[in-house]
Amino acid sequence: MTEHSGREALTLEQLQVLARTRGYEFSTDRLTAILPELHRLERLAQRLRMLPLDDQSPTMRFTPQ
Amino acid sequence: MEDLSFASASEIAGRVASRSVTALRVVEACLGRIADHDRSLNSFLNVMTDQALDAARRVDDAVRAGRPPGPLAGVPVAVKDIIAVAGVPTTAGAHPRFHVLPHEDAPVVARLRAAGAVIVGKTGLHEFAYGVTNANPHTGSVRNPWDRSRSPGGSSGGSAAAVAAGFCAAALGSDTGGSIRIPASLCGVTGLKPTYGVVPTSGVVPLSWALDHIGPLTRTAFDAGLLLSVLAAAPQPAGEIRRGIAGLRIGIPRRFFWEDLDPAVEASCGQALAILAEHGGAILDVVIPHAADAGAAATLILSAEASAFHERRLREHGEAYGEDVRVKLDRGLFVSAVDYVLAQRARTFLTREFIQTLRDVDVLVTPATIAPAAPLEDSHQTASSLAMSLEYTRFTNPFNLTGLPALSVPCGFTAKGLPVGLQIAGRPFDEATVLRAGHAYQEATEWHVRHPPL
Repeated sequence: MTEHSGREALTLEQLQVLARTRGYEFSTDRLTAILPELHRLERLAQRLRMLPLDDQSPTMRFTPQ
Repeated sequence: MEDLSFASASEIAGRVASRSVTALRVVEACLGRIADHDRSLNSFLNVMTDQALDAARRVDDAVRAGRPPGPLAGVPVAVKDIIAVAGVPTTAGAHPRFHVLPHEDAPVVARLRAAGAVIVGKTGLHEFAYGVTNANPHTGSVRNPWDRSRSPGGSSGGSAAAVAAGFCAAALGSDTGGSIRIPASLCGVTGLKPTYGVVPTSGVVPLSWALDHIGPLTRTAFDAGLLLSVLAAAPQPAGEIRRGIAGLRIGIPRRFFWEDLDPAVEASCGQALAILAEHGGAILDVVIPHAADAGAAATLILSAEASAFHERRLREHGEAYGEDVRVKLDRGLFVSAVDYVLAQRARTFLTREFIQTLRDVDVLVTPATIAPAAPLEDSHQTASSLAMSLEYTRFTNPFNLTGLPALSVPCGFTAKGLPVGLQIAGRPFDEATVLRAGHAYQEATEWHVRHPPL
C-alpha cells in the first residue's frame, strides 16, 4: 500500500464512491452536508496518530483498571 | 403549607420516614409546581401524575405499617426520557416513529422505586441524547430556569432544569460526553457521573456503549452520594463524604483544562480553589501531558458507536431525525475500523496517563464548562449545535473516555445571573473522595441553595 503525502482530505467524489461501495444511498446534498464533519474526524484521527502509543492492546473493557 | 420544593432528598426522606410530612403531600406539591410553571420551561415530556400519587400513597402506607420505607422515602425523582419506565413510552426526544413502550423498568428505576423514591415523570433531552443544546425539533426546546432565552445544556437538560426549578428533589441523567455535568453546571445544580460500569445502563437507549454512564442530578453532593448508593446498590458513603478536606491533595491541571475560559467562569472557578484551600485542601499544579487529545478519541468512538446503533433507522427513516443529529450520525458511518481501534488504543494510553496523575493527588479540579449557558436562538442551527457540542464537552468528555468519576457543583454566577459549575474528578471507584470534596465546598458556600425566580 502507498499513501498520498500529507493524507489528502476526502473529496466529495471519493465520498460518493465510498458510500455506494458500502451500500448507503445518499443524495449529493447530504454528502455535501457531512463532508466538513468527515474532514474534522480525519483531523482528529491524525491527531491520535501522533500519540506515543505502544503495543498495548486497545481498550475493550471500559471500566478503568 | 410548608414549602419543601427546594428541600434536599436527604431531608425529604428523613421527614417522610419520621412522619413529620407525608410522601403524598410532598409529591402533590411537586406536581402542583410542575403544573404551574413547567409550561415556560418544557422540562417534562410526560408528567406521571396518577402513578406518582399512587406510589406516594404506598410509601405512606409502608411508614404507617412500620415497614422500612427505604433511604429515598417519598423523594420525588424525574427520569430522563431515554430510561425505561414500565408502561410509559420512552421517546428519547425523537420522532414518534422511534418511540417504544417498555414493559419493565430499567434496573436504575427499579432500584429507585425499591428505595422509596417516587417517579414523577420523564424529562426532555437533546434528540437521542446526541447533543448539548436541548434544542429539539420534535419536542420543543427545554429552557434554562435562570434565563428562559438560554439553553439548559444537555443532553440531560430537562432533568437539570426540573431540579433547578424545584419540580423534584433529584433526577436521573445519562452522560456520554458530559450530558449530566454540562446541564448541571449551566442550571446551577449538582451532577455526578460515576465511574464507568458502576451504575447499570441496561434499559437505557444507548448512545455509545463505551462512553455511556447513568447518574444523578441533585441539589447537593451529599444527595448525589445518597442517590449513587441506591443506583449502584452499594453502601452509602455518608461517613466518608462528611470527613472534610483537611490535607486533601487537589490537583489543578492548568494546561488545557484551565485555558480559553470565559472570564466569569475563570473568576468563579478560581475563587472556588481559594475556598478549597482555606478549608485545608492542598492545591497542587499537575500536568496531564496529552489531556488535549482525549476529546479526539472520545469523538471518534462516539461517532462510530452511535452510527452503529442507529444504522438501520438511518437507512429506513433518515428523514425522521433532526438535522444536527442526522449529520453526526451520517458522518459516523464513514469512520473506518482502523480509526475506531486507534481511538480505543488512545483510550488505553490516556486512561493510564490520567490515573498516573491521580497517584500524586486525590482529586482533579477543573471548570465544568468553558462558558455559561448560551442563547437558545443560536443553538437551533446545525453548525451552531455541532460547534457547541465541541465547546461544551471540552472539559467533560475526557472523563467519559477514561471512565473516571466526575462531579459538577455550582460555584458562582456571571454578572447576567447565569450559573457556573466546578468539576471535581477522582480515581476509579473513588466517588466518595470526589463527593467529599464537593460536600466540603458546599458546606462552605451557598451557590447550590440559590433558586431561579419562576
